[in-house]
Amino acid sequence: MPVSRNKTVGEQVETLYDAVPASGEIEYTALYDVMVTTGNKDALNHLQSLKHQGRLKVRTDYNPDTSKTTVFVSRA
Amino acid sequence: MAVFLFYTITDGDDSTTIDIPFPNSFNLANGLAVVTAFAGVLNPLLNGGLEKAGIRAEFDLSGTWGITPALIADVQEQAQFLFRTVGNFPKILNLPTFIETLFTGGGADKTVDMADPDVVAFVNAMEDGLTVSGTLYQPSDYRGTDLVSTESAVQHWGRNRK
Repeated sequence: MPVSRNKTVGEQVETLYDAVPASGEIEYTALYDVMVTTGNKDALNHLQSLKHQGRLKVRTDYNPDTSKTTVFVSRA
Repeated sequence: MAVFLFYTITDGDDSTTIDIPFPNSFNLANGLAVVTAFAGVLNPLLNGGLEKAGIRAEFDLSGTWGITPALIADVQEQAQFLFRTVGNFPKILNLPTFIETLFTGGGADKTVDMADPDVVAFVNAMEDGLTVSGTLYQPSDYRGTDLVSTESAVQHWGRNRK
């Protein structure tokens, strides 16, 4: 049986990047649910660094009709 | 001259006001929509109530975002966000009545959970702007310089309740 270990920072970064679809956008709440379900919540802490590296784009949209704010994540 | 959005946040007993600067390209015709939109990314982070907001004039938010604070709301309990501009200058924003469960860690080393969806919405609205009805509104520092990154977000205690 393989021994489980914590992922390195580099592995967490790539785990998060791989969770974002190759094309199109994913709502951050959906991405959050996936990462939590798969035990990779810590990888979400690297969203900002991936954004600043230019590998991911993050868009925050507010709908005045529904008063709802939605965050979208996509590959750059 | 910059344009400022201001928000007065109450914990039921006392209140405090924060402001968010914008460059002078801000379109005042959409002022109410933008004030309401930024209330939408602030409100999920706060135990307190958003009492008043505006751009040089006050807007009544009672019909949109809650004015009624949680019983445990305390304006002394804050989250301190340190943003950096494109020129690496600091912009500090203290959010009073910050919801305790949005912190991680314990003791004196609590930091804001930067993975939480409500926190992500706020941080990205500050860094990259908020799209309202198809138009992007990007916060800045007091000189109108674009905010581009978040250096830290930690628990912070105000010195007094005002």
